[in-house]
Amino acid sequence: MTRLPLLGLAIVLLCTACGNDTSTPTTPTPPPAGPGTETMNAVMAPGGTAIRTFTASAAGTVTVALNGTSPPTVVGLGIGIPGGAFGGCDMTATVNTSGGPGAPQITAPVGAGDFCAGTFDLGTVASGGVVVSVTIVHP
Amino acid sequence: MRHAFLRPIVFALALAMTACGNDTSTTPTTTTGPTSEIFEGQLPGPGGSQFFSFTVGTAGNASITLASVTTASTPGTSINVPLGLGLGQPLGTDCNLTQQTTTGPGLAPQLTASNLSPAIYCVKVFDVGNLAVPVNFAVRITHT
Repeated sequence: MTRLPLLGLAIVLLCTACGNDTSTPTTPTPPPAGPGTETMNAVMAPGGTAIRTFTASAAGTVTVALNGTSPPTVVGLGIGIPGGAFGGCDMTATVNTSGGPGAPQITAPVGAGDFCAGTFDLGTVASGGVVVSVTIVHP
Repeated sequence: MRHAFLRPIVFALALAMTACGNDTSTTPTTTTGPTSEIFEGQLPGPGGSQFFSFTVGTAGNASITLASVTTASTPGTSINVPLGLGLGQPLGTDCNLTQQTTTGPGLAPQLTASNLSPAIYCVKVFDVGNLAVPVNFAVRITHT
């Protein structure tokens, strides 16, 4: 009569010991990369920047458009590579613009890699800041 | 005979140890791809130059992009002034260039090198006669 309880206890203990074999390795999730359109809406403070980084998955053409600002203000719009410069973005090409509909203000050929784009104050942003809307299309 | 009741337990233990003995956790395989380094600096004006050394760990290709040229007086605003951009190997206190070009800033590599052997290499940025004021620059180096 004592065999079955002992056997049951042993099986329960063993099942418990074996039940936590969660040794399946987790695969790091790669950052999303690929063609895409990214839109940034941000408030830029006086003397500040509004920068977004993105990854081009292949060589191609990037366009950067300042859709507009509120209130209407002329700001700097640029594209570059992430770095230690102004706003964390070493600018390659810049234009001064208040934005609006129409063709993107910046078109640039790129290789595959990480880039950044956005706006920076030219000294025209009032104390309340300015809302900027930037669209980046990349390969 | 008096320990006969233990036989099923011993048998269960043996089975369980066999079942538990194959917990071979596999380590995720990581592949090493090209790495990118950023070389930022300032050329003080006419005739200025700077170089940056990097190590190629395994044989492969390298690409060099002069990505940014700005002036200190207009932070954030790029200027399209052509500079010298070269690749070579350190020699004494300089960078002995094996290939070079003159280029303005861009976002696609202006210099590429194929099948570099593992060694220390350097990238040099220098004035080719266009600089009148100090400029800040940034170069992206992608290598194996």
